[in-house]
Amino acid sequence: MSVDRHGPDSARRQFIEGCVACVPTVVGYLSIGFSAGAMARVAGMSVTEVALMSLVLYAGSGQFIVASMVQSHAAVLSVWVAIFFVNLRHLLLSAYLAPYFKQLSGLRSFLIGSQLTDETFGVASVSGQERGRVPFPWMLGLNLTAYLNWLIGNVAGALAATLIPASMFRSLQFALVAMFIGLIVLQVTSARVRRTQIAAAVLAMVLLLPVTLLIGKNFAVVVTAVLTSFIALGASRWTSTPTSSKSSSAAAH
Amino acid sequence: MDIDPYILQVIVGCGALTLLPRVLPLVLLNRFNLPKWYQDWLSFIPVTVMAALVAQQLLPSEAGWTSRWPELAASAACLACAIASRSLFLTVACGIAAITAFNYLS
Repeated sequence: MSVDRHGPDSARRQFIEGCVACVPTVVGYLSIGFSAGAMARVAGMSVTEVALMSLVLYAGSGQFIVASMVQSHAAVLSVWVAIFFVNLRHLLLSAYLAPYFKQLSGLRSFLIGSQLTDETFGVASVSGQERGRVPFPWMLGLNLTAYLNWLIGNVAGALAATLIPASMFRSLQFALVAMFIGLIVLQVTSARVRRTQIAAAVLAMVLLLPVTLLIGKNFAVVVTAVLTSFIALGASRWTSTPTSSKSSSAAAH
Repeated sequence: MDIDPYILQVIVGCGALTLLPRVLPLVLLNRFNLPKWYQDWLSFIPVTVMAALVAQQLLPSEAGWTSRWPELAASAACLACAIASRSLFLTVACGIAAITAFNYLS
């Protein structure tokens, strides 16, 4: 492994900065994790199983689906297929971040990718766009803080499952929506060409419903994002607005 | 350790199938210089993925759109708060406060 060219002190500082960057999402991780853990417990899983799932699967929407499918005793293969399609969107997130980690070894890239979530992706993409780079220790700090909070939230939810009213789940789940709205606004704010980014966000929201009706819920997010991004690319080319080349400047670092 | 074999199979399999799309692009795309149009296309991925995720949470339930009004109203409050504050933390705090209030009213 290569030694960080800025020295160990700088690496440690970046790691801590990454942990701090995760703080605004902690409320979200704890509340979504809490409701994911509680729902899995209600579905019949033990606290140990919930803890294991939060560490191995580590995906909010995926864990909700596992809980509901386990509750109805679905076949193992059908759960695998459902989760695979739902989590396929990580391909896009991972591909987006790849240019920021161009100089990284395979092992380190694997480490970062293995803890990739929608939320850490959102924080990292905003930071990458603002600063033009995403240091490895920073990403590690962000990832580990999120991972730990997710585990805590899940276990707390599993332990408290029998004590909380079902209506509370609805409020808790909204933390996710609030977080993504905040991340979209930050992403748009830091973009070089805001208009197309805003248009792309609005179009994605509009297209999700028809796409869902057409191809079903599991694939909807991936297909909508891919499709809308192509439309936005075409529109930005057609109006010949100078598009940003943030990815190449990130690689130059 | 109370782990059911069925649950263990589900968890391990799902974990492995989630790991692949998480890791493969980061590990493989590291080596290539990708074309400009692809990089421009990628620049829209964060907002389109996150907007689609938000829309998915706000889709009408079986009871129709009206049952979603607390979520829709709280989302509007979140959006206003995010634009005004540019703070992720305040946006999430505002969202939780708003949804709790609106759920109480509904």
